[in-house]
Amino acid sequence: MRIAEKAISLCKKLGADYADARVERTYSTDIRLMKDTFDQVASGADQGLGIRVLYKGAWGFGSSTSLELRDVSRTIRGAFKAAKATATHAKEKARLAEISPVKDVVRATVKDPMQSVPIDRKMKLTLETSEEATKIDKRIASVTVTYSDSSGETCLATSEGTRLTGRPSRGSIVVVAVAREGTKVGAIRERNGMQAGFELFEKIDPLGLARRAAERAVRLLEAVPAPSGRFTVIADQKLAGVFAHEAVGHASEADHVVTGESVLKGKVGQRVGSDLVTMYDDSTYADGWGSSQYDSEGVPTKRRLIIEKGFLRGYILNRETAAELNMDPNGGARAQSFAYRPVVRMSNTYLTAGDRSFQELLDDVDAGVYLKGSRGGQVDTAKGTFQFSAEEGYLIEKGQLTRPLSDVSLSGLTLETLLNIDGVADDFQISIGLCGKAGQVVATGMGSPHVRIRNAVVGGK
Amino acid sequence: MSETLDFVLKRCIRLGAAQAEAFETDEVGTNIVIEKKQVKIGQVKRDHGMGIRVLVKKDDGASTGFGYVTDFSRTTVTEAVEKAVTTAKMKRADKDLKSFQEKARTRKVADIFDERISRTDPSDLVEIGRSMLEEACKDSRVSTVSGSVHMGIGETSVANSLGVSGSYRSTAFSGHMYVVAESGGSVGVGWETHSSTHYESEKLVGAAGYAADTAVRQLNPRPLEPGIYDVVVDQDGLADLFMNTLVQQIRADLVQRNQSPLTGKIGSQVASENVTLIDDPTVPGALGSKPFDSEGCPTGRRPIVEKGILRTFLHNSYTANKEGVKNTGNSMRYIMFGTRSEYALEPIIGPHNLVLKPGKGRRDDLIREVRNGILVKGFIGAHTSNVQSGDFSLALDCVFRIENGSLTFPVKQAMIGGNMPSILRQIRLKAANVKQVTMGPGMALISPTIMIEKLTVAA
Repeated sequence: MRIAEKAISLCKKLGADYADARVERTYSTDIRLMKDTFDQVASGADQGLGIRVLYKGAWGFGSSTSLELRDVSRTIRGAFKAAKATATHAKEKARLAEISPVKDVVRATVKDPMQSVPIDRKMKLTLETSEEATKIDKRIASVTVTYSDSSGETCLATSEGTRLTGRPSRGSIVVVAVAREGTKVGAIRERNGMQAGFELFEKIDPLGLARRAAERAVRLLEAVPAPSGRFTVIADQKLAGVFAHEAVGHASEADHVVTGESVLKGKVGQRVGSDLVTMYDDSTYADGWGSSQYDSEGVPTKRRLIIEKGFLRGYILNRETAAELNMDPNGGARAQSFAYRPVVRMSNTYLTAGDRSFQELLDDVDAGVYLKGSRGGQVDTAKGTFQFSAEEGYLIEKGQLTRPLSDVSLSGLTLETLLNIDGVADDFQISIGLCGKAGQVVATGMGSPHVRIRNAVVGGK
Repeated sequence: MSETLDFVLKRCIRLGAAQAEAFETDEVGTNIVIEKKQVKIGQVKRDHGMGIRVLVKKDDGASTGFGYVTDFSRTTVTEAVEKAVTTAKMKRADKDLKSFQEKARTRKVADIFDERISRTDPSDLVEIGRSMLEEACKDSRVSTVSGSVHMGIGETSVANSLGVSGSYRSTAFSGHMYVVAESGGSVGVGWETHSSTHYESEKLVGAAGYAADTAVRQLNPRPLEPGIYDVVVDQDGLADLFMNTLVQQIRADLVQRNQSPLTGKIGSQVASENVTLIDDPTVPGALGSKPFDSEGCPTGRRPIVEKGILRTFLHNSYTANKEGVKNTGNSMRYIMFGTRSEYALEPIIGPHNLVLKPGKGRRDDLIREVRNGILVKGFIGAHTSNVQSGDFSLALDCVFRIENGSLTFPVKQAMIGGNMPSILRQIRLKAANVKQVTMGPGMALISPTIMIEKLTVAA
């Protein structure tokens, strides 16, 4: 905090209209085990400062991994020069929505600090997870397990008086199991993580993840290619969560809205989905992978209502877009680390639960497709189109899940799809993910219950 | 050798390593971002860190451990070394792991540091950005302009306990421009990049003009009849395709793991006779030129394909020791997806400057020779290519139809499917218009525009 405060006072002296400084120290462990061999094990110790200055409506940003005063001062002067040079010609001046400065200390609840657990114990956990998946079935051809943790100290100081210190800690494990039989191949990824100390690995049950990934991969060997065409589709919690995040969530990021790159632009108050659709981006979700009490600009975060019973209610905002759209800031600015400037990002994005059971959703489907999990896909927030590949699929025949399907994809128009949601189950689940935008990766949660979509486009191979 | 490097190596050996290596980079980067027809934000970034690798000997081989720091205090460095040694001890022994890089003489590489860049400051970049904008906005149909200008100064050092010790300084200067034109409900997109080790502001302005010109010419596109076409590919597209396919297929580590379709093909014809591809880190002033690789092995000119015949794979110290061949000096630190500082990564394998030997004539002359074809600037989705099988399916970006030697109309959405290395046999024409395009940190493709004949194009 001493360094951050020094940086802020130098910015003030140079004539900044606004400045914020983030100083961080992060210890990380990344372990990747492929086919029982440690492919990559890296321990990292990162430190650095990121400084943002606003001068006559123009931004300058500087970062440095060196915290020596000489380097800090050089970084600030560089950021300042950059801001001044852009200010001379800026047509649109950046403004920040008003907030009340805060002073607070935020700590993750930690029993076993990540830093005090020896690396060989983390490697052993990775190895055991891999072995658990491998022994499920002879047809498991390869297992890749990725262990990651990070913990450290952060602080934020702004020229308005905000002073925040944090002690974040998080860890996750990802299992990819590949099953093979003859020329048939099935690959499944399972992952989970939490913001806590090393004890989190007891709660997220890595061995259970390993078994699930392996069993699902083996099951895929029985799958037949999916049919193509329009069907009634039921998406599982993971795929529907990815849809909420990718197709709807990104379009609700206010930076896309102000540049005209969102299909949700100008639609607040209008119907964008069926009555059954309520969606939040919720930084306050208990134990959420993307949760935080304050955002990277020091704004207290919120549970942001995006869609209420089908009507668009708001966007995810940082201070600049809040001012531009004349809305109240809601703490939606996040930066990957000190080396990046904060941008509008999601936290935990989810569709809320309904009151029907999964079986009830199935019951009235005569012929349809059940899609499970996600292998990723593509989204165009401006045009409002999306395409996702599911990990697994099943044919639905007369209310029953029948044949397993492989290579199934779901595509369509975001708004049309939201309007075609005609069934929402009561079995809400949230999963963890990493979201990339503007060259930065942040941790996000994605959640949903089982969701039924009428007249959706399914693609096979 | 710096005091810190010396301290790190000694600490590794004291804590139980048989060998130790430190790789350090110190970079200062400045860039500006252009958004919505405005120079929006200036950024300066100092990134200084060190990757530490240890080698621990065992009865049945050896293992490595790795860690990195950006805080050079003795406590932090010692902790990192301890973890690296523990990691190495915990890993299963690798019988093929013999040693880090032995000491060897390196030669200087000419002209990779431009003094002028060290004297340039953010306000100069803003001026360049403004000139680029002005150039891009000349046509009233241009509706959106975005882009960036970047310059960097870096110092790279490698030292190990076997006596390797060296460092070099380099500079970088690059920019890109993305232009959207609109007219009567139609939208056209154009873009261009320029990268160099030297301050070349006028080239960036030229790139902006080229991007705008393309955007306007892309207005009112027409669909293309699916079929077989001769495809003319510019350097940006080729670099993207090569990086995601061929470059990975000539990595000795992937070849040794049987993950390359080129396994066992040394000495065979893998491309048409007019393909000569050389990895040449000695080209004066080129983006990937450097005296030694990321393990300190001296670099050199390595013919990979000569007149269509595969001559060598690219090695680092591990793969060369494993096979008992000479190290080609191609240890590089990068990841295929996302960005990460080089010091935070363990070495893998990559090219420095992949040079595709040019042909004759201008790009226009090459186009004039095409009867039934298309001109392609870039590819979308090259990262989804299957390296092992070489199969790829790509959407094409900025496409023009070529009929009887002239560009006739802009093409709406088209796709190609194909296989690397198979398509190397279909390279028929090469122009002389050499351009260098970055493929990652310290990696470049230096190539002319080429024509690949008879590719299947889908709409």
